[in-house]
Amino acid sequence: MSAAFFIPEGAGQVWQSLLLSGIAVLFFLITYVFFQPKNSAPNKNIAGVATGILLVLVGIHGWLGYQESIKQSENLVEIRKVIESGIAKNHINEMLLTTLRSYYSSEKDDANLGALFKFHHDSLMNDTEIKFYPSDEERSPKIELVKATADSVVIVAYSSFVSGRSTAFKNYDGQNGYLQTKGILTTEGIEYEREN
Amino acid sequence: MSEKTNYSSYIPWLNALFIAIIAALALAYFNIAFTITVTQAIGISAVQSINVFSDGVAGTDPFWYARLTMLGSIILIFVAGPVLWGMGSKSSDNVSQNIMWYAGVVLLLIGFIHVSMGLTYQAIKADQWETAEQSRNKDQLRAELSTLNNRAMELYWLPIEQNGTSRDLSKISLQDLKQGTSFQNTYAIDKTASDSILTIYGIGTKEGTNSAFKNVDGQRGKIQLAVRIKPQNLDTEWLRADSLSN
Repeated sequence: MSAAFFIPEGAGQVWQSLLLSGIAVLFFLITYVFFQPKNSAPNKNIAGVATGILLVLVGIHGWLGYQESIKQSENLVEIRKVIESGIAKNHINEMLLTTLRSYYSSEKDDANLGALFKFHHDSLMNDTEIKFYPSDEERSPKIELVKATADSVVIVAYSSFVSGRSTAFKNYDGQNGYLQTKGILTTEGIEYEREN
Repeated sequence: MSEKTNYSSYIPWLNALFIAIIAALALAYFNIAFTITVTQAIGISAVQSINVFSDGVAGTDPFWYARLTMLGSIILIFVAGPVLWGMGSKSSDNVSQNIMWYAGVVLLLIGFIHVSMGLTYQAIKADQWETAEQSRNKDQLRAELSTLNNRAMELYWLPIEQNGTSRDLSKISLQDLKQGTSFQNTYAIDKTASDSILTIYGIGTKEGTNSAFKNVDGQRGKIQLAVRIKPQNLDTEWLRADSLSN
């Protein structure tokens, strides 16, 4: 039983430990009730049955708790995905809409989407990275400018740890398998694409 | 006389139950991690889930202290409990039991009390997942409204030759906004506030907190959110939840 709690160390596999210890307890109870001499434990049968009932109840409690934990974990991952997708989408759209508005408000015939994008977001740009967070803290998702030409602007947002649809997908920063979205601005409008 | 004997046989059990209740309350009061193995496991899982939420990994903390107390509790209740109870012999007058019997029965009763409390709590908490579903539907509505909002801004600024409206809000229809995207919830638009303001209402699939709430599409009691858009300034205002949402 001790091994059940201390062998699967490191990853905090506590449910596995509980299950293994439950199996160990079951074996112990069977041994206790059927192989313990009656004269050394006169109440062993009733005690064994009561402990067995308790073990079943704890098993039900544990199973429900395990299901609850799985659901909670999945919900938190889903919430994180929704948050990161939302941040990425909102910032990409905001940046591209600002540029689109300037483009179609401009009275110049040679209005240039790439130049307008850089004009509006120059203060946020560090090389190709667009630092839209208020502090220098490492955050996710990150947004980068991929291309800014006269007739199109392409930016991508990628997560540092939220998984995308495919583990094989190569992210813009060279990692594999994380959430990535792309926004493309042309004179025909904005295209938003979830790449992974 | 025999009636008196029958009643007296329950006294040790009542004593043991009384001691177990006091002990369970004391353990809970002093927050001593004993017998609550499943609760501890749920707590550890919650910590790991939050780690995944914030950093992407569950972390490497093996939770040795929690494991040790869980192991101790299991040994005391499932091993020491039945062994002590089994070995405890009944005394001749059936009124007082020996100390081993008491120790074993009390340990098992504490286990029963804790698991009953845990199961009751789980039954009550099952309702919270419904709240989580409502919350998820609201998140979905916000995301979809955000998409419609961005599309409305884009159509406003695009010229007619690019399938836009050349800054004429009255030409924007819900069909235009939804084009090319599938939505899970129901939407309605309102352009009556002013010729420069568009309001988009989103009606969810889940029931909100007020069953009498009248949704803009005629339904009753569904979650509802709304966004007011001023495309001229690229301005988006999420309408106050307490006045419009359900």
